[in-house]
Amino acid sequence: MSYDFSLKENEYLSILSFNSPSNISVELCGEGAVFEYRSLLVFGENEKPEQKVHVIHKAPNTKSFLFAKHILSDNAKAEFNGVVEVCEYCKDIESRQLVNSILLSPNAKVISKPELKIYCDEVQCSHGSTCGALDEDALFYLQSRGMGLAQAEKLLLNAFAAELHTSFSALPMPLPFMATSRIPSSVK
Amino acid sequence: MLNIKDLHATLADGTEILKGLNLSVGKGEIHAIMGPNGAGKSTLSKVIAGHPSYRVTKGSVVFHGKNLLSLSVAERANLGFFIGFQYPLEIPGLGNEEFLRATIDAKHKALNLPKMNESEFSEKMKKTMQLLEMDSRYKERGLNEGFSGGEKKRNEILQMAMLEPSLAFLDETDSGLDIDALRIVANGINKLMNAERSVVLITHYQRLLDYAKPQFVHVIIDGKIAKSGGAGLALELEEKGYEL
Ligand SMILES: Nc1ncnc2c1ncn2[C@@H]1O[C@H](COP(=O)(O)OP(=O)(O)OP(=O)(O)O)[C@@H](O)[C@H]1O
Ligand SMILES: [Mg+2]
Repeated sequence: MSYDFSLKENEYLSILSFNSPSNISVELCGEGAVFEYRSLLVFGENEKPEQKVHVIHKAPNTKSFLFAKHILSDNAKAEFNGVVEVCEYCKDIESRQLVNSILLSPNAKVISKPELKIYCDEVQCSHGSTCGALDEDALFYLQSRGMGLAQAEKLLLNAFAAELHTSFSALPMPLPFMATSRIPSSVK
Repeated sequence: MLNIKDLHATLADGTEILKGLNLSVGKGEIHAIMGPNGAGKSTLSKVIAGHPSYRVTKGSVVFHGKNLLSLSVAERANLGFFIGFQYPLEIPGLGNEEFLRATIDAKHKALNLPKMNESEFSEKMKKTMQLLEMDSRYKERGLNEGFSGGEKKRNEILQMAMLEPSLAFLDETDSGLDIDALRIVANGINKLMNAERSVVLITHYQRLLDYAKPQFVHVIIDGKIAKSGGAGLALELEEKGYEL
């Protein structure tokens, strides 16, 4: 699926997406515009979800936040491509992207390709990515309180997914609709 | 209730950490374990709890008449063993209350007890948090997420008080607690104690032992119990150090 958006002055667009790898393009055309993208992908078998988010900061004082989470099993291979462009004369830009992935099998893979095209100074940009298996000590912690391995894994995966709307927010508080829209309570 | 005989445990690379450790804990007893940094105190509690980083190469651990070493981590917990961690992990995204609810449910299921109903659970949680002087907002927060060092330790005691284990190893639960918190936590420990329950306090300081008085004090040095004695031993150590 492909989506294009254009934000005017002080407009705020927040996308929360679950298992819908898409191609999204957003232009921030007015001062004060903010774009926030949060996505969770849970894939397995031989699936190869690809996501591309292209943000163009065309006005000063605009912000973009891209937050992608992956839970991958079997031979799944996910690709996240976050492209952030900052046009000339656009000052006071903030852009952050973060890709966190949990790989449940040794054959699962994630490719995170952040691209920054910046034609202006006074820009704050950051990107980061983490990737790994479920933390052994965290699993041990939960099991030491009496729950079996399968349940401990499930709780940790749910916690990982739930973080999608509790952290990395552009706003001091998550939006109300985000607080109520629940990630499915069990990820496989 | 707990009998450890000649326990040897190694890391995955074969490095031996516990080198023939013997310890018996009876019903209704408070023990203190002291000893220098790196002696193996935390390793001992994690080996008993079943941490996958360690391999037991020799010896036995019997708990309530069962061979603990053949049980899974969860089975050990549901048999009544609790470990209060020296460095409790943060698990963002897993609500503190949600987590406690899941542990209580797991325990009841394992013991074939009926599920604890919602009102009983919240009543118990509320009472316990009051006892530990924890603000109710800690219910909603992620498990230990952004908790201060002392708050994490208090949260371990909350988990213990909710699960009511018959034997708790509390690993430096007193480290990082301010004076009031120390009294509150000790109070929580004492509340839990009865003729059927026991606590092993791993500590570097006498302070906690003033509030929760041990009948037995052991010193672990280099993976073994180097000395055991009564409450007086802790005072002696505080004065003279570990030069035994
Ligand atoms: N998972 C591990 N990987 C590597 N080394 C380990 C591991 N666990 C324990 N050790 C080592 O084993 C020894 C004992 O560690 P342990 O944490 O049990 O000490 P301790 O008596 O609890 O010390 P402290 O008083 O500082 O808490 C130390 O030398 C430590 O570095
Ligand atoms: Mg220790």
